[in-house]
Amino acid sequence: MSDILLWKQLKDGNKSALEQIYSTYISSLLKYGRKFSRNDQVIEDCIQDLFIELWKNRAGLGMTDSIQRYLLVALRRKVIRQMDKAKKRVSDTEPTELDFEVVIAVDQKLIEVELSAERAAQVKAAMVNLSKRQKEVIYLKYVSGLDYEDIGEIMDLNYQSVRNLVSNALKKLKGTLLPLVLLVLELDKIIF
Amino acid sequence: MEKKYTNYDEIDFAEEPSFIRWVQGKDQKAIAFWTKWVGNNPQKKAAIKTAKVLVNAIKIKEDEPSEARIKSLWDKIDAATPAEKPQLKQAKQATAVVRSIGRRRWISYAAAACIGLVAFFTLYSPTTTVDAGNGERLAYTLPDNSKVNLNATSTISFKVGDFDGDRIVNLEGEAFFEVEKGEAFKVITPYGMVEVLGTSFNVNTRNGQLKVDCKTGKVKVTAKKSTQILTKGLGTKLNADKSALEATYETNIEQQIGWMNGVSFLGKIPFSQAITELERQFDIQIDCVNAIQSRIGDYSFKNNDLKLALDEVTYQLNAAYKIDGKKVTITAK
Repeated sequence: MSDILLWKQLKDGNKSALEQIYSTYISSLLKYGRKFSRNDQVIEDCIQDLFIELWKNRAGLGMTDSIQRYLLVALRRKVIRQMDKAKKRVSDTEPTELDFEVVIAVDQKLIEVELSAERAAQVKAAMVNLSKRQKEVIYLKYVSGLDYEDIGEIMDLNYQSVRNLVSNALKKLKGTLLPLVLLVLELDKIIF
Repeated sequence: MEKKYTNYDEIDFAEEPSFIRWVQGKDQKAIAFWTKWVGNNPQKKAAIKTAKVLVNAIKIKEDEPSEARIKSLWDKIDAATPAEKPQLKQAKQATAVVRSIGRRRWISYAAAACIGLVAFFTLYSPTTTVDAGNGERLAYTLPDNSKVNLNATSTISFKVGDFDGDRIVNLEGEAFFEVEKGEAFKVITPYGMVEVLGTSFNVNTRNGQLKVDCKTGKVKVTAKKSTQILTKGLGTKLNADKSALEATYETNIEQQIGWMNGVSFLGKIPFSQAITELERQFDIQIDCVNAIQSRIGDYSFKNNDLKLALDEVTYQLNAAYKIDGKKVTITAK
């Protein structure tokens, strides 16, 4: 079923549409939420609120052609609000920048090349070097598979800013990974 | 499509969605395409290899949430979101009727339909006109209890006195009818006639077109000496040169009558026609550059929130808009 139709059924008060939306997107919501906070309870509370509000306000919901985008935007806003509240309680001097932490899984085998421990550390370092916002765009683009428009809406950035964040992140990544890239190209010459 | 990639560098490739799906092995079509493309463009080998390293480097460790966790979270949400039979639509219709009564005094006479007035109307047989102005949609009950939902900037008229024998309603604009069983019920439009027995159907006469979509029962449409019989889920409209009705086709009735539930689906049309509909629905004036007006798209918008509606259509057009009271300006981005 298309997102537009499923969304319409939700707006019409069809409870099974709510359940279908939940079961389709809960995994990506939990995973995305985890990048902002290691505290699973906080994220679960936000998601619970999100779905309850979705149901309560269903009649007044706007149209959407991407339910995933709608949910990610809503969750992100909720998490930010939660974190801001929590931070204010702890101290006012804490930085308010949104945390976005990813754990990089380095494949021992990047393309044809077996990576040494040293090279694996290099890849990991390359990702750590990215800013939080760069990590988030990279996550949404390469893991969630979203397009620039959707990412822009989720992160409240315009199209060009998203593009810039992505290509700067890639350039940075390329710089750090240059030795590895050269190695791959070198091997290529030998093999072919 | 294929050609544009020849100017790509490694960063461009690493950003290209179908390239990413190829490297991630997610999409058979992308795999087939890129395997072939790489073979045909050996000069791009180094850029492709580098882009592959970049995309492959972006692997993020994630644990799948457990079934139990997903289930228990749903149970909490489920308990807090009671399913109920929505009566919203009914309530909305009721308020629409009340609104129309306030708007035009004489509608209240017909709506009240009390016996004395019916007798009065039977004697003098005046014509009753009900119209929904710009930015107004309303529900109206005909003397035989048939229901009419009028879209913005639409008018119906009928003779109360004759309604018992001949149920004839004149329509300009767009309306959805739910007809009580009984004698023939006719909707006369400037472009043709719709005749029914007990059914519900949508009649749209916007932009010099006659378009009829049948929701339940059976409808007979006559225009330009051609006739089509519609049953549940079928539609017909005038052909391109407006010389006869087209053969019947399966219609998405929920979309056709989406305007009653808050969403106007316009179908594939030039943006200029969408502008006219936006102006009707919101009672506004739209100023729009010509370059955008001719763009054909599958336009739809929420018809009770101007800002959201403009967001939707301008997003699709990649255009910008500015609201200034009742004036809206749409420009290319």
